[in-house]
Amino acid sequence: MENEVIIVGSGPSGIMAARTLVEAGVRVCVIDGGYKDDIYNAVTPDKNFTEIRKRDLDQHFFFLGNNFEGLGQENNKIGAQLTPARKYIVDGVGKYLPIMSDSFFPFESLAVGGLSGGWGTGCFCFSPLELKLCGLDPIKLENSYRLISERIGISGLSDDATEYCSRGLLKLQKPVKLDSNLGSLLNAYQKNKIKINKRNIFIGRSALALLTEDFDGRRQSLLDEMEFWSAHGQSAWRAAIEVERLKKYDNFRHLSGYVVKVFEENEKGIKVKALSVESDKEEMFVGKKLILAAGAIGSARIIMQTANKKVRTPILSNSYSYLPFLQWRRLGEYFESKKTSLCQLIMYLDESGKNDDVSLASLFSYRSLLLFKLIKEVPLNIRNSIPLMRYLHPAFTISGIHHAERPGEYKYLEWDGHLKASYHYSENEKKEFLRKEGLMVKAMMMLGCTPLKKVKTPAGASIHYAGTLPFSTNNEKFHLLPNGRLGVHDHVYVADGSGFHFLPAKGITLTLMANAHLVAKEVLHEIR
Amino acid sequence: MDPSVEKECKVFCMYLIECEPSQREIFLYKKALSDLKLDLTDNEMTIRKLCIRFPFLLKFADAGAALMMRNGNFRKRLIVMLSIVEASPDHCDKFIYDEEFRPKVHHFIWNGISSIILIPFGIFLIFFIKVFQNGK
Repeated sequence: MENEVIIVGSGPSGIMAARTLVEAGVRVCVIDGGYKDDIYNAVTPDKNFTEIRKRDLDQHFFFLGNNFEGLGQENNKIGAQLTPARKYIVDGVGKYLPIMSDSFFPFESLAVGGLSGGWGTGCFCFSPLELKLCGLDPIKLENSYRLISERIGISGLSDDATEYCSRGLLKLQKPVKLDSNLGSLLNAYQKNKIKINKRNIFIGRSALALLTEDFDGRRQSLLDEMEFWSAHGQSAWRAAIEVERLKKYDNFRHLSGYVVKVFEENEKGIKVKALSVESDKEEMFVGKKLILAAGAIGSARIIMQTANKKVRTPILSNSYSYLPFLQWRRLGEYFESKKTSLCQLIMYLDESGKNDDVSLASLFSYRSLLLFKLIKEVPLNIRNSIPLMRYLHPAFTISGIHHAERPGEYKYLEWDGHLKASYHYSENEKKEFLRKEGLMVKAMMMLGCTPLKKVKTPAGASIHYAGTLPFSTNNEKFHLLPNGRLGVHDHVYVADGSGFHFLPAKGITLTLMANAHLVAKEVLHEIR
Repeated sequence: MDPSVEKECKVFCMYLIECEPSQREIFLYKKALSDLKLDLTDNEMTIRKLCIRFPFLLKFADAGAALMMRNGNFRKRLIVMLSIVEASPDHCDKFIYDEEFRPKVHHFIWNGISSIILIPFGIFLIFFIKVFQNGK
């Protein structure tokens, strides 16, 4: 098959761009690193978490890992959600995508489906103001959001949080059943709503790319609490699902096991040079158009490597901390056996009231990541900690706090033969983060929750990246035109978050997909 | 592998959940130490030897390590043993909180108080061993 469009990356951006083009009859080739889970999903039973705990003799294999990889390397406080079943997501990255930094520790992926294999499925429609700040067109994105939501299936509810996550989405499935821990918190919020809202804080249900009704050959969630461990039934949307779906089309080709290095462009089209993971040899692929969707860092790397000159570009990555709370009224209560592990509630701090600079805390209950992960954080002897944590954990609410991000002098990628990164917040930014976190903590305390020890993760741990090739109307190098075309190029586009000038605290994945669809439409228009 | 690893596994398991480890759990423990390369420092080796010889000292060593050797491999070995017994249907009744679990508040309070009482003794033990090792 002769390629019309080559897409680098099979993550959410790449695969949504691919779908738009494939469905329009374009001959598309998606290239990715090819890593996938060949082991764990197949051996993890399609059963409820509690049932597995009580009966399965081999559970250590998938809960801890064949080589106990579920236990190691957690000194840097990131990656708790990288269970053994998800470790494939970062396989090969150290070898093929090196990045030198002592201040920035990103996650990249060469996996089929990219980082979406570990996505928490949280869906957020950025507000019109946020979209403008990013450099995106709110009207185009609004339609695109709806299209994407109809493609992937999103469950949610209209409530105080709707303005911040699912505004404009029309065909939502019914929301995931709220567990008793977070249900208790939501009840407390509703009783104290007026006081909490006066503090510019709003709490509501998250919109999740998790099915509550069967859809498109995928099964509704059985609330088995196994979302961190397996993908049975495909209830949670992952880009890898879309890859398989597109393989049914004759005009789609999936080239797996390649790491794209550089590209060449001439008047006829593009050539992409990629290293085969298997043979370690370089191969060339030809097409008319190239869409880079390797993530903001990955796409920038390919472009810098192609230019092969010293260059520095900005980068954005949300600050991320997590803070457990103890909800005292929950002591002595137990967890129902059917629940989801995913975030069910979100707290939004919107001080301006304009939905343009929102901080948020995603709220989780804790059970399915096993108690030992909690116990090892407690500065007490382990033996007594077992009954303590067992008693306390139904009362834990874990908050993952993100803040919006803007460019800064010490936030950049640099290429001089190797990719380097620097990421430092200014003193003002740090103070602002602390101040906002203080407001959110106070609100949680008003809801009867006591904060425990905050864990600040290093820069890059949020797994949200953008802004490495900022949008510009000036058609200049290392920038994107507003339609996603790479400046000073005719046949190269970028469909991930590289162009964004601003990175809201809200999860970026839905917006990436919506933007990728629009970029694909531009490419389609060019081709046709 | 050092045959005392099996002894270590038994002592740790008895300490954590008052139960002898099964052959499977011993095998998993040995495999984990090999896979994760949890080698001990001289101080940690001394603590380990003492705890194997005098298991009653383990609760103090554990309490001390929780504060003074949080990221050390001695504590990580205990966590490894913990994770193995937790990921076993034979012992899940000690970890799961479901409709069948009937927590007793006094039990919770007693565990909390015990943890705190152990701290100064644990710190003293770890400190004493460090001084002893440095003196050597």
